[in-house]
Amino acid sequence: MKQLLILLLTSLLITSCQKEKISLAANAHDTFFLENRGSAMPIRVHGNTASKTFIMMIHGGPGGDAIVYRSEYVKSNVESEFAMVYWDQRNSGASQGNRNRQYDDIAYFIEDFEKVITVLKHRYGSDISIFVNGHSWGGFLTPAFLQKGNNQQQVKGWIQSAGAHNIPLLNQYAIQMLLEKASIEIAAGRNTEKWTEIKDYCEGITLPMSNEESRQINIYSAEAQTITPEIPKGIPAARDIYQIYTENHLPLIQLFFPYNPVTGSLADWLFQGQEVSTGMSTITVPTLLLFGKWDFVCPAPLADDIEQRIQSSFVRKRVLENSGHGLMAGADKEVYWEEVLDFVRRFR
Amino acid sequence: MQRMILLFLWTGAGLISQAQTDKVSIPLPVSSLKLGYLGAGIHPGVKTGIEIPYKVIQVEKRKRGGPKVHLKQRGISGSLGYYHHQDFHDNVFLLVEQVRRRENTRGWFSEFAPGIGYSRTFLGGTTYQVSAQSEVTRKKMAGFHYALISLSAGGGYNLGIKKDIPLRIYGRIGLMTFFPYNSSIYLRIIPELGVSYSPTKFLKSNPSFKIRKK
Repeated sequence: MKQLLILLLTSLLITSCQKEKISLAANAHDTFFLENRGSAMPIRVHGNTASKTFIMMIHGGPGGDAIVYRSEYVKSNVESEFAMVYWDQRNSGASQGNRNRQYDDIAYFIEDFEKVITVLKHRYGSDISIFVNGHSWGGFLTPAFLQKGNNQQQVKGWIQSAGAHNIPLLNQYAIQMLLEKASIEIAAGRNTEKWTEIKDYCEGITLPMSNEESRQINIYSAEAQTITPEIPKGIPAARDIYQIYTENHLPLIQLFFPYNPVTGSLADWLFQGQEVSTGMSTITVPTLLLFGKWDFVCPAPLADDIEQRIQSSFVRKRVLENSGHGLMAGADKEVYWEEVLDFVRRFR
Repeated sequence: MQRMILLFLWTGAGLISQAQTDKVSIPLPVSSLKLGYLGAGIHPGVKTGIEIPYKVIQVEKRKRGGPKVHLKQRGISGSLGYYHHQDFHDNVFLLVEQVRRRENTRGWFSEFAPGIGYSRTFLGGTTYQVSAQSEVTRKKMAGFHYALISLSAGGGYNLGIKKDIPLRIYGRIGLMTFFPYNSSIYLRIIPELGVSYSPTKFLKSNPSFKIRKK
């Protein structure tokens, strides 16, 4: 018994002294954490780390999760070529920690973002190429990150996927789009009750909008996607999401009980009418703008605002014809990911 | 897995058969050692502890075919538990529960146990910290301390009634909440299958005893 104990203690000591080995592989599956200001945020890296090219998904919300983007399509067609990085932001997804609400502030989200990149370079080498892909709220956080200090030097390119970089402009476009679509759908006799409700609400709004109105437009925009016939598959089915969560060992119940983005202080701040358009002129990295034609949540004309303001030598804009807000998982997913892969291949 | 389902069905049958009782009285509960398997296949874990009864009420209901008897038992249970959730965390927790059990003369019982405790998680992967100077360090034993509240319910069979074996087999479903967790709470459902053994020479308990006739 004594010998067994000694053996156990010795093996524990040996393993605790070992330097962490990080191998670059064609089919890596790594999970590690960044702990910062009271939050432990999971970073899952899947795919071809040997390519030394990493595409970071900056998820939506605030309060969503990153692994939801890891569809079968991504596993087969993207991870085989490059490494995908799924980082859950603080108080989101499968992040852990004690109460840290005092850090629910864009400045700390940017700090976390910077530190995730530092950790990636520490693990996989300072010579790796990183691309940042912001979706929805992530499309606010990503340009905010790029506009700070020398952060642009850390990445090779920016992909803006139906991003919410300017809330007042977003609301303006959303109302316009909702009103136009409501008229068409009411005339066609499709979902007239809901579309009339949306139309009446939009017509009653005067700009600038209040926080509550901004949230309500966001809710109506999400609802509009589900009753828009032009979107064959607006959002991934619940069973697909369930499969992704179980396969990636996420705490399932917690996902139904997450940090509530609707009441969160960061969402409150955002819906007060924040924007990062003003600083866009500082952005010079290659940029790919991908939006869905039927996205009421983050309407496609938002891309024009970015295109006109940034100073990048390369800007490509593409509006996907059959997509809403979930463009990377809907009917146009092949087109979406081909655009991303072409962009990454070109600038890696 | 099949065996686990059978055991669940078996313990579930205990809840259904509560109404059927014999005329004989039931032996008083004694202190016991408990060992449970947590997780039902995913996120496995173990839980071990002791349970000490402190109150027993023998309830006798007058029926046409004779009195029906069951025991209402109250006990305090202290446990140490652990589960492993891949890529998320390992969790070690201490739990004190008040066990409320109702047992019939055939040995079937149902139970409900509210509890409070303490939890320490260990993150399920290498954890990094980055200083203001961008220096990266690995944090050892990274994880968090939480308070926990637990509610569990289930049932089982007491082999001591008919076969004189000092063993109970039980199945439970527990709901644990850990807090303060991020900006809210963390909820977790924990299935548990276990046995409770009462050695002859073990912690002496002296539960109060009452008979209530209805």
